[in-house]
This record gives sequence, structure tokens and C-alpha cells, in this order.
Amino acid sequence: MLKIENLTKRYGDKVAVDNLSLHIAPGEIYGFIGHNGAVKTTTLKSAVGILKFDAGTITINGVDLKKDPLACKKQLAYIPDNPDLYEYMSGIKYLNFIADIFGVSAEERSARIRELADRLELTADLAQPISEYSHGMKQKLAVIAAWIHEPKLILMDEPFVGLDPKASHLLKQMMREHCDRGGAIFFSTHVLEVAEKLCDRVAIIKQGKLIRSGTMDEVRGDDSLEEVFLELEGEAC
Amino acid sequence: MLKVLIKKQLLEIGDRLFRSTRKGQRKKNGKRHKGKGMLIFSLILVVYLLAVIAAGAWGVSGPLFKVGVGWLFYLVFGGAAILLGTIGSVFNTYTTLYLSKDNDLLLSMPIPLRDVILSRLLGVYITGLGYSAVVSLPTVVVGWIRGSVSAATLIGGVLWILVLSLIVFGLSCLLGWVVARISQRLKNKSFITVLIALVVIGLYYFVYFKTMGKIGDLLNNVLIIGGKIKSSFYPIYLFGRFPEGDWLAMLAWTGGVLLALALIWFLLQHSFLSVATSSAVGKHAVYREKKSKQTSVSSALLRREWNRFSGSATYMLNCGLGVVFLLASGIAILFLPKQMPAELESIAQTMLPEEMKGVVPVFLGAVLAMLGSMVTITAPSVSLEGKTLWQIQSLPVEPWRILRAKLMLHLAVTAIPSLFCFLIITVLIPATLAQKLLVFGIDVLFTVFFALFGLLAGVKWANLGWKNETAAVKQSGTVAFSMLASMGLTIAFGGLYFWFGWRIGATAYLGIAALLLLAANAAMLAWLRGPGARRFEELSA
Repeated sequence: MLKIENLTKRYGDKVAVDNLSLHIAPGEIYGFIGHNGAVKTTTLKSAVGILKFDAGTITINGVDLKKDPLACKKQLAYIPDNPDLYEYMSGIKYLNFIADIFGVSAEERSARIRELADRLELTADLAQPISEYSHGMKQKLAVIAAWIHEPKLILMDEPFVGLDPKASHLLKQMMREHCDRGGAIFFSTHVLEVAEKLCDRVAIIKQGKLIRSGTMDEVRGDDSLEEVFLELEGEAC
Repeated sequence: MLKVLIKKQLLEIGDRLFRSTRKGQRKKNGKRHKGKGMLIFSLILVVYLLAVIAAGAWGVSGPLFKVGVGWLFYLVFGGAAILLGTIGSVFNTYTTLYLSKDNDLLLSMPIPLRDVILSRLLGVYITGLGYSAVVSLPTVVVGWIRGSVSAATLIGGVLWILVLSLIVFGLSCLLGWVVARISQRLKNKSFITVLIALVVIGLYYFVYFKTMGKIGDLLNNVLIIGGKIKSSFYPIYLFGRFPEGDWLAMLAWTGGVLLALALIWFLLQHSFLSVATSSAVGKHAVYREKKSKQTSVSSALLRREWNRFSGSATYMLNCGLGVVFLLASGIAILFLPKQMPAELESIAQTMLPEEMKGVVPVFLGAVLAMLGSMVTITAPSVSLEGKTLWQIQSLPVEPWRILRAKLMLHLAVTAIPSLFCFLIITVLIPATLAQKLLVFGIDVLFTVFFALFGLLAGVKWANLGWKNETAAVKQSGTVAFSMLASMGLTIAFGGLYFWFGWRIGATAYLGIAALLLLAANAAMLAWLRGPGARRFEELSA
């Protein structure tokens, strides 16, 4: 589904992402783990087509992101770490805007908004301006917007930050359901317990370099993910 | 503590003026800089504005100083400085003081409330000083040249500029507080705020035109009017005497203004927390599902721009006010005496040499274009994406389509009032059919030019890291730059006729201008579709 091959991204003279390769297959929840400043966000933004990169290729279902960014973007949805949404719109206007961009028909969008907003308990607030939403409500709205056009690939940057326990639980369920339907999810997280329970595969990144990746069992072996992560980070457990 | 906050405030101003927002533009020292061109051009425009005001002041001051009522000159121009400064900074006060995104952060820290407010007000003061000094500075310099220069007039002049800026500051704070109070209570606040502002501006223009109408009387009857003001409105008389070095006037006005500021400070300090920390207003709107309608990508993008525009009183007032002026001009012309165009023609016939008599259509075309140049909707539209830029960049939409939607909003909002105004004036002007058509065409081309030029400036000098939208709409320089440059162009269009245009005649001159505008528009459009769209794609908040 998502193939990142030898991705390199520089900021001036500094190499931020260094020759990174990752493959995310359909049906997989792929966790991306790393310390603060490990350039997880840079990698995600590059894969979404927001950031230009210097070398390497990113393909989504065989389509090269550099050659045909629009075709790639049509297949994906992205939720950033801080959901800065259009505060001058109401929740429902925002969802309709996203649905219009992705060409979701009126009937389909109504049904999906109804289902997703009910599920995330946001229906009553959809007429409110986004400027009056809490962080968690914005995060829920971003989740609905990401799911509204049924993308094949969803990329999320720290998606559980700001969500209450119930919404967190629901999001995990939705992620699993999405992958069970043949979609794929690539998300970054600091919460190793979440990654351990939720991910099919993980990648650990340090200073822009991939230091380990594979299935959960391959990565952690007999230890916990936390132990492995700390060991790899060069810290004593 | 106050020092630290002021430093932060100045860093914010510096950051939005000089930080580039292009991705990967990091220099070796870690900072990203905009080109110096913008700064140099802004300085040129400020000098230009100062020169224009100085020229006006020079013309008015002559007769007044001649008959010994120089104070009346200071009174007229001081009033203009206060009005310009207050109108220019009132919405800035509201957003800077109450809507800054880091208010919560600062309030959560062990910082005295007084210091938070004072550091915020510094920006408001600087803006007000900037606006008022554009008028007060040349006024005082002209006054020194026309009148006498002594220690008293030097001190009085400098102090007068400062006191004027403090009056502007006080009025801005007071009106900003009123706007904040109104906004707290309203649901549909942007439109109602705009409506209130329009009423205030309408009143201002009513008073302004009434005053201008009396300027002739003023110049003819200076002594009578001066005598009346002196006897009936003594404090006002003292205000005019202030820069002339009258110590009593200086003392009374400085003391009075400081006292008024103390009262305003008391009001702000006691209401700041409740206004700045108030969140939702009115009733919670409950969502009821309605039948949704699918629209095209272009419509969705245009609607997004409209929501952004109509959702912000600051944006509408600062960038869309020209639309009201266009509409008002069209309506006003409808009610002008029918013989007015002919009178205009006859004035031109009498005052101008034979070869320049075709000036009327060129002059009217330039005036209309100048009204259109006050619409600057596209200029801040890129900056206003701010932190939400990720959203549109992650969607499957070509960058050019996003820019085109910004352009379309500008044209859509301007279209009806512009065409209405252009049509009426074109029909009424005394000119040949070809000239009428050319004037109409030129004004349409100018409208498109302003939209394109604003967008070009917006893409080139985007300011995405703002803490409140006023920074994007007013303080980043892009809007002022695009508006003043557009105005400069319309002045050049009118002025060049007197220089060489009359040699080729009005029709040929209008024709050449139309062709040049068409070429400029085509060039800007090509840039926006190509390099401009790529640049937009590379922007980073």
C-alpha cells in the first residue's frame, strides 16, 4: 500500500531523514516510534505530500507521489498531531467541504457523517463553530473527516493525544476495522503500550535513521516494546 | 517581567516581518529571511505618503499662517491624524489585546496581569503612532517652515505628535473594548461588527465631507471661524495652539490626555480577564441533519474562501471596505445633479490648456480604479491559511485551483458594486463612445489587476506564523504594500496623461493603458499558475 524507499530529507545542511525505507501492506496497522525530534512528523508529512523530500521514492498503491501527487492524495487521509482545522467553519460545514473535495456523494456523506459522528458522540456539536470546539472535539472531527471518503491509507500523527479514554478506545476499534476491510494505517505514537497492543508492525526511528522494524514479535522478541525501545535509544532499563 | 514580554512582542513583530515561510529555506545561521525588497518598498511608500500629506499641508497652511491663524491649520490636520489613527488601529486593539492565541499561556504563568496588558498594548500604540505620524509629522514640519522656529515650537511640535499618538491610543483602546464587549454578546458577530464599523465610518465620512465642504468657507472666513472656535470651544483652540509653543495648551492637553489614559487603563485592567477568557457565546447551536448537497471542488474551495472572509470582521473591514466605497460612489453619482458631468467638462475646458482637454475620461477612470484598489481581499488570503495550511496541502487539489478560488472570491465580491459603479460613471462622462468603452474596460482590467497583484504579493510574502489574524491582515505589510502599490499605479495612470498622454490624445492613451494592463494581468496570471502555485505548495506554517 505505502512504500517508502530510501527517503532522504534535508533542512539546509542537516540531514533530517536519512535513507529511510518502510513498506506498509494492506490490512496493516503500522506504528512509527521514536523520541521527540526523531523526524516522525517529517516522514509522515513527506508521505502525505505536504513536504517535499530530497531523495528516494514514495509510492501509494504503485503510484509515485512525486509524479502524481493528486492520485496519491485521493487515496489517503492525514490527521496531524495538532488538529488546526478551519475555525471559521462549523463542524458540519468542514465535513461537507472535505466530502466535496473527495467527491463523496450527498447520500454517502450523510450516512457516513451520521454513523461516525454518532459513534464518536459529536453529532450534537456539528452545528457549532470549530472555534468553540475543545482539542478533543477537534481531534474527533479530524477523525471523521479522515474516514469520510473511505481512504485506503490513513496516516496519523499522535492520534490519541487529546482524546478521552472512550474516544481513544473507539478510534482503536475504527483503525482495526479499517484494516480488516483491506485498508492500511501508518501512525506515529509515543505511547508504547498502545503500539504494542494495536500494531501489526512497528518501526523505530532515531535521528532520522531506521534502527529496527518488523512485526511486533520480531521487534520486541521476549522483551516488552518499552525495554527494546529504551535499549535501542541507548538508555539503561 | 515587562521587559521580557515586550521583547517577546517585538520578536513576534520581527518574526512576521522578516521570517520566510518557504520550506527548506533555512540559512546557515538557522534563521530564514524574507527579501529586503519588501522592506525597501515599504519605506518608499511611507516616504511617498509623507510627501503627499506634506504637499496637502503646504497648500492649506499658506493662507492660514498668512493671517495669523496657524493654530487652525494644526487643528484641521491634528483632527485628520486622530481619525486616521483611530480607524486604522481600532480592530487591531480588539484582536491584539483579546484574541491573541497565547493569552491563555501567559495568563497561566506567574506574570502580573498589568504586564500582559501593557506588553500587548505596546503593539497597539506602535500601530496608532504609525498611522497618526503619517499626518502629524509632515504637519509639524510644514508648521515649522511656515511659522517660526523656537524652543517652544520645537518642544510643542514634538510633544504634540506624541500627545496625538496617545489620543489615538486611548480612543483605539476604548473602541477596541467596546468592540470586544459587543462581540461577547453576539452570535453572528462578524457581520454585526462590520455593520457597526460601517456606521462609524459612514459618520466619519459624513463629518469629513461636511468639513471639507466648509474648507472653502474656512479659507475665506478664517478670522470669523477662528474667532468662533476660540470663543466657544476654547479647549479645541488650545489643541491648535499646542504645537505653536503655547505652554498653557501643552500643559492642559498633556495633562488631560494622561488623565483620560489613566481612566481607560483602569477600565481595561478591570475587564481584561473577563473579556479575554470568555469563550462560547449565546446558545449552543444543536445540529439537525439536513439534506446535504454535493458541490464541485471549485465551488467547495470558493465557499471555503467565502467562509473565511465572512467569518472575520477584521478581514472584511480591512480588505473589503473598498466594495462599500464603490457601491456608495455609484449610488451617490446617481443622485448628483444631472449637469455635473457637463460642469466637470466645463471646468476642464476652462482650467486646462487646449491640448489637455481630453483629461476627463482619464481622470474619472483613474478615480474609479483608485476606489477599486482599496479592495485587497486576495492580499492576506494566503497568510490567513496560517496553521491550517497542512489541511489544504494534504488534499488532492492542485495548488493553482486553491489560488484561483482566492482570486475568484475577490472578483466575485467586487464584481457587482464595481460594474454598477463603472457603468453609471461610464454612461455619464462626457466622452466619445470609444472612450467610454475604454474607460469601462480599463476599470475592469484594473480590478482584475488588483486581485492578481494582491495574490501575487500574498504568495510571495506569506506570513503564516501569526498569533492573531490582525497580523496577517494588517501588520505583515503585504496588504499595505499591495494597496499602496495599486493606488500608486492608478495615480501614475492619471498623472502620466499630463506628462505625455495628452500628446497622443485620450483615446490612444486609454487604449495603450488597456493593452499594458492586459499584458500585466496575463503575466501575473502566468506567474501564479506556474511559479506562484509551486511556491504556494512549498509554503510551511
